Amino acid sequence: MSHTIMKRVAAGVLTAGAVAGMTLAVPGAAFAASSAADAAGSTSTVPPSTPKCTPSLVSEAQQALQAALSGRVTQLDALQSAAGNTANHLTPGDRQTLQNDITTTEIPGIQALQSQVQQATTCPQLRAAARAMVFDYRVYVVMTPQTHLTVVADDETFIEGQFAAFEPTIAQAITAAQDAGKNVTAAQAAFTDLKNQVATAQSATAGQDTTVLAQTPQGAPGNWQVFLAARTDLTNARNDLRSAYTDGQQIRTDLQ
Amino acid sequence: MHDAKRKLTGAALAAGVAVTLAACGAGSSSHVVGGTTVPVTATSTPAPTSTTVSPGTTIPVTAVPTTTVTSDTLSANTLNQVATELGSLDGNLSTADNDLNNPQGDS
Repeated sequence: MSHTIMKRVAAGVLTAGAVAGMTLAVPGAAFAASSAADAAGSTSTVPPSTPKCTPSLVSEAQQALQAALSGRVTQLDALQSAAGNTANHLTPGDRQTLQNDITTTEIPGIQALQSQVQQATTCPQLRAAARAMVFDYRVYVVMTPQTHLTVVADDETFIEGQFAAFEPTIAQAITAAQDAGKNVTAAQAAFTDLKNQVATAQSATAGQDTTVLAQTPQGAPGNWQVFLAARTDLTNARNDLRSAYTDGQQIRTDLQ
Repeated sequence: MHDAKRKLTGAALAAGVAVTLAACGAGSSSHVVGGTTVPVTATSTPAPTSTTVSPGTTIPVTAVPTTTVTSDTLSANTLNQVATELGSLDGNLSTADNDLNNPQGDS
């Protein structure tokens, strides 16, 4: 599964290389392609770039790069909204970290490149901007999964807290039902499972936000595996919390 | 003259005692008088009620919330909130999945 995804990423970066390389012949893009392929363990050969940024094609290369930068600004705006959305349960510290990265580093950096590209008149100038766009900011393969995975991790931590706070109430309800002469065997079993599910989810979630937030554009493409591992743990935690919720429903039904 | 004065004082005193006794016995054997309220605490009444002791005299009854936790409490207090949060979580996890399965822009 992860191998497939890494191949896909490698292919994606190859595409980036194609965009930057074929259009601009950016040395960095070729480097990106080989790095991603190496990270994926792929032995496939990197297709040769087809330099197109010749003096007669500077304007076309410039437009392609401007479009790529504009897409990244749009994506960063979306990430900024996600980080600022108070409907999610990002911790104040995590929210601040994400907002700082997005608003004080990423967006100003990409916007500076937009100005740089607008004023560029030569292929080397465009190559330098394209390389920085990919390697310095990693909007799609670092900032994007980092933001969304952190939101998921903190959401799960919040829900785990809800369950933990609810457990004494459930215990009281079961005791009260038992005192009233009700058979609470099934409810008690469901409650035991609920506590186990929540504890397992807590283990899977613990420290994920810190790990994910520690990733930087400079760590790509190697940190892709970190994101994949976080996704696996967070998906498992989500399933545990779903099971805990089902247990809660079962307890409620048994006590009625 | 002096005798008449003494008779009048005795009559006034008797009248005062009579009025006082009448007031105390009116409608109730307690010593509650009009306009005075006495708080009473009950432990089994589910909702606040009031009890009229005598005309114009109201005794508020303060109910103590029951400590029994029912299955309804499980539902209303937290399970529904958890369901909402799980729904939101699913949406966010789906977004993160999409980032990793189909990275846009490739870099």
